[in-house]
Amino acid sequence: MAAGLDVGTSYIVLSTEDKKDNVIYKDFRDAFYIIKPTTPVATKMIEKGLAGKVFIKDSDGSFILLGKDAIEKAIERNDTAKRPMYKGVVSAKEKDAKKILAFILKEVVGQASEENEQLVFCVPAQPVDQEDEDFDVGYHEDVVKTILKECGYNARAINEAEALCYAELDVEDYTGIAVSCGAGMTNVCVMLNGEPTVVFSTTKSGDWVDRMSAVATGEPDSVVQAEKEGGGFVIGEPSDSPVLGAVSAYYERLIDYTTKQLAHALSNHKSLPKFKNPLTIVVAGGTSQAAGYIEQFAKKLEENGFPLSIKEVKHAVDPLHAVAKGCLIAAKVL
Amino acid sequence: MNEISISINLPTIIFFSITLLVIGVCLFLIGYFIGKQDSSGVFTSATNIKPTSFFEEAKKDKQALSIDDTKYVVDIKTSGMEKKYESLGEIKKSEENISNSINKLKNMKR
Repeated sequence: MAAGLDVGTSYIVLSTEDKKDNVIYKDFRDAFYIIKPTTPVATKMIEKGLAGKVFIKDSDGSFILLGKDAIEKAIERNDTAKRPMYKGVVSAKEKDAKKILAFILKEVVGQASEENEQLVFCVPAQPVDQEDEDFDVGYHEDVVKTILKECGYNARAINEAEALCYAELDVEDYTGIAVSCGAGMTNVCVMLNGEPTVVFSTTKSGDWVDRMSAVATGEPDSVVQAEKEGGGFVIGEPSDSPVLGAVSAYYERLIDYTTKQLAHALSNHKSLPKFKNPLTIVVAGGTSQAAGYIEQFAKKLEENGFPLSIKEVKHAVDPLHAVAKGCLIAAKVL
Repeated sequence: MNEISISINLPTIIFFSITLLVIGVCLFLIGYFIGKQDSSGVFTSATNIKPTSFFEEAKKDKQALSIDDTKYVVDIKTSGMEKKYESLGEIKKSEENISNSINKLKNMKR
């Protein structure tokens, strides 16, 4: 047996295979919301009110809602749900982040079915738009490995976009470019015959759209995120809703920024091979699910002087699960 | 009033000129050397370094002495947390078959 795990800023996705070789995905929203009761009466009332929701009771008496229920409760209280991860790694902003991430991961992956079962999980690449000192993936990798080892797995880390290449570029003989547009970061991998030649990330993605739209409209991030995920807007087109109008505008800016970074990073790159044929660019991740994303991405690549010849820009078959699928493939090949 | 007179003769001027010229040439050579090193990749950023494939790393780990990363991360205690739900996460079954991709990649990595 083997497993793949996409440890994302917004979603944690486990991928395994059943006996008929079907791929089974288990998704969990990577969010939490803490309610601290002040009196014993309040404790009983809150616990009763949370019946049917996914929550845990901490040793200090507080209630921690998890996943979608955390986001819904935060919206109900005109507040913002917290995340155990920030920009692709364990959040340093939240003091409970490590503990809650450990709890969620243990619950999602469960105990290994055999001793030292292979599990491959994804990690982000070094960003090109942030100082090296401000970002390090090493500690995050160690935290996740420790948690998974406790569950009996032999865990290994893979670059997020490299995993996406293994999931989506088999028909291209594993040659092309994968762009994983997550919540916290955008990860890029250029691959030639199964060998990654360039990997990097940028620090703006879906969360940045939420934050900027929230600032522009005065709404909490959770409200903006919920409206955004409800759809009802097309990138580059006006919207009647002020929130969705702002989301659409910031999506356009995000795509422009990402494609400019992509063009700049690959122009005169020392490790970039001379490709004989035009390349397929595959895009995945929750942020890429907005209507018009792929079309805008292709258009902006051309406008911003992308240095390589493009065959097509295509969306992954299952954008939310593609990275987890790539991790599973890598675990099976090991 | 006492007058302080500084006598600057020709050999002194020549000596200072030569010293300045030597310092200038040295600074130019140091700059040239650093520039050359930078363009050859010594001082390039992490993103300009060719990455190692996941499978190459795995091979190296099998051959080399490994450091247990988990020794550096301690005290992630979740035992005090009491579960108040039956199941967590949504399950989705996909009919896609990944065995072709696995075999193709295995052949490429041989």
